[in-house]
Amino acid sequence: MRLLILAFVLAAPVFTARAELVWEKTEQSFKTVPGQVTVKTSYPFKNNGADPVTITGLKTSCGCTTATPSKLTYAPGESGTIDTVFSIGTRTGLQKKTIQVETSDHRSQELFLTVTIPELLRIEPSFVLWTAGEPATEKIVTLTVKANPPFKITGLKGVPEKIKASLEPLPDGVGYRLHLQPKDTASPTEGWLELKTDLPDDKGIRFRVYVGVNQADPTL
Amino acid sequence: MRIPFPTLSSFAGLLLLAAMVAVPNFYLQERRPQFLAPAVPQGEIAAAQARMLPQALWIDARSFADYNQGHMPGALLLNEDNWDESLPQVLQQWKPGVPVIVYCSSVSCEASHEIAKRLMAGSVKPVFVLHGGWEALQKEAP
Repeated sequence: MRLLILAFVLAAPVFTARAELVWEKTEQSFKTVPGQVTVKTSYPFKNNGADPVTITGLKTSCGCTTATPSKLTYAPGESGTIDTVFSIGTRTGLQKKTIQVETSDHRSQELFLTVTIPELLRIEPSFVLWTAGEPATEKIVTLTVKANPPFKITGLKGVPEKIKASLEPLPDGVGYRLHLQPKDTASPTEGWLELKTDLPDDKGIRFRVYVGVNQADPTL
Repeated sequence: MRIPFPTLSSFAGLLLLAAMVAVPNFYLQERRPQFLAPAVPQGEIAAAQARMLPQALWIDARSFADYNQGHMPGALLLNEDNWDESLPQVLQQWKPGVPVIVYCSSVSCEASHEIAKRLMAGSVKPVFVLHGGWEALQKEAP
């Protein structure tokens, strides 16, 4: 009798488990191209169970990723998708995001999205700032072309008022130094300095460095 | 040789014993003294400490939608999507020596670390990532 009870307890999960949503794939990877703004994809599934299943929760690991079900409730045998949109923004490198799907059968499924965003140009630092009264010394931004084949930085435009800027190509052919110096730090100035390149304009690729001299007493 | 099989009553007794240990432990965990709290990684700051700073510039690194639903009063939104649009305002608000606290949604969120790294590369200092993010802020809310 005891063995019977033990066998029932151990077998109970088998009797009560019903394969509900079955996923075609739970992991997807993409590599972006220059100028791309979003990565859109879908995760298809099918309700293989005997009961309807409702999607009760969808949570993404990043606000940069949205996830939307094709609808909420799926009858037995019905298929659906979770449609995701990942926003690239100013991100570069390997991006790993997860989407957690919770359903009315008290199950949870994690979906994985990996996006590789090639870095075309490394800008270090991405902004340069002087505060009012600080010595108006030169600051340098290092630019390293990472694209293959490499492109050339041909000049500067939109240099903020009262800022002296010059571009120094380095002997390695892919590096540059951007020299920046304000005329003084007595009065504020700010703006985005844009780097001109020999990349085609229709790609919509822009590289910018923020340069500023802060005012004397900013309000917090 | 017959191996003795535990009776249901002895099994229930074991469960009760486990509960007698687990429940007070859970209760104490929620109220454990600060010196017993897990260490906060370098470069991060606990929510309770961050709230006690006399001056700080709070940066919200979450999405616009999350920020709109609720954020630290006075926090500026700066994330990898709106970096170009929002950076000027953040830099204009910042004053040298005033700590910058960056948070995103939870302890597993990486966005705050990326934003902190970018700010520090541009010589904005000191910058701290809020340990536990927005979730921790809400738990510590006065």
